[in-house]
Amino acid sequence: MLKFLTIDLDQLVEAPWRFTADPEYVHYARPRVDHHPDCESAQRNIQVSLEKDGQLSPIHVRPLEGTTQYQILDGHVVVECARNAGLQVLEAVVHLGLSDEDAHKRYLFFNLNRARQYRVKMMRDLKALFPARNANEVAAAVGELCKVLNLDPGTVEDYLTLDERDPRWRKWAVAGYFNIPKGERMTEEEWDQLRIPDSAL
Amino acid sequence: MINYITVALDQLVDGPWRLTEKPEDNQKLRPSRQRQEFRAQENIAKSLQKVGQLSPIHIRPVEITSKYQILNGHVVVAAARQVGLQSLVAILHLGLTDGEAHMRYLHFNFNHCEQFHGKFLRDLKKLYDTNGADERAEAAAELRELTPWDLKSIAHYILVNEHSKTWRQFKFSKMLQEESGTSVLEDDESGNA
Repeated sequence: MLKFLTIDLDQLVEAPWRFTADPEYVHYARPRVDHHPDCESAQRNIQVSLEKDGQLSPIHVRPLEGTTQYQILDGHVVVECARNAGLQVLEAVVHLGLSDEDAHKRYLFFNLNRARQYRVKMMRDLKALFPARNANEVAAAVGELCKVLNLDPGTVEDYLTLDERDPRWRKWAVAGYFNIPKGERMTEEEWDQLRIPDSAL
Repeated sequence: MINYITVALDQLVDGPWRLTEKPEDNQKLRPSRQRQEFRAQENIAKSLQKVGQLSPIHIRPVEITSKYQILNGHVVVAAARQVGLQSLVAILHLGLTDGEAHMRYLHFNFNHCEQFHGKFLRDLKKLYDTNGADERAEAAAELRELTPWDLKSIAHYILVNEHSKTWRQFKFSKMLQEESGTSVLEDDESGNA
């Protein structure tokens, strides 16, 4: 049976395994066009959502023995956003009786045991939601979608405007190799000029 | 304020946007992806049997019926049906249009911070500091229930940790690929992560 609790933000402490909170390791997160190591865009979207709709989903915590504090198992970014948004409390699922190791494993389970998302599905999802017909509609849709997706605007625009078999989809496979920013649209001719060594494929 | 309810599984219907519910679309999934979806569901089924439901699913009422549409948690519902549960705890989202429901699904599924290899390795190094084939096999068996990765990928992570003085040097080298195919666990799956 799930146990729910409303918890003051100042009772919440971070888990010691949290990578991006550790200054020794934070620079190993690759800075990318679409998001900063500290997941700026995801955090911004969650903050907007908290301010607009309130908390949509509980975070996950466990009580720390001998204290009134709770360790965050899952939901570190939500907690940061809640602090930024000036919230005082969050609702949480409380996980009892976990050792340090069990807690860490539960965190992995929450974060890694996901069915993968993939490009064709994303494209159909977004086109179904925003059947944009001209540049203005595309721009409006991109603005709206960037509020809920942790993707750069150029990528979202591709989802909305390219066909499933458009040759420009190739950029997903090769953009990293040529250091081409994901959001940068290229013509088909420009793509054809790129030559990828067989060894890299 | 979050609205929690307990809902019978036979009251739950899938979101129409769910691609893998459509047989014609499901066939377009690469076999490795299909296996990954299957493993994610298997892991959730095991977890449901072992420790019960860990997190509520998200639903919205379907007008004029007693049904609820799943916004997020399709795989959990499938796993719950698989293990014979009758009900699940859910968060009820009220007053959403079809478009808003779809957007909420996107928000839950696509607004994650990126996970990356360095982080996995560091996590796994802390949890499974293995030494030798037996310990590797034990770690791989546990990780099999925590992630949907195939055994080859799990074996890579474990071996990289064991071989590297520091996880920073991690590289999926040919040597590791060859070794992982023979010395961690027998992998009956040929797909890649």
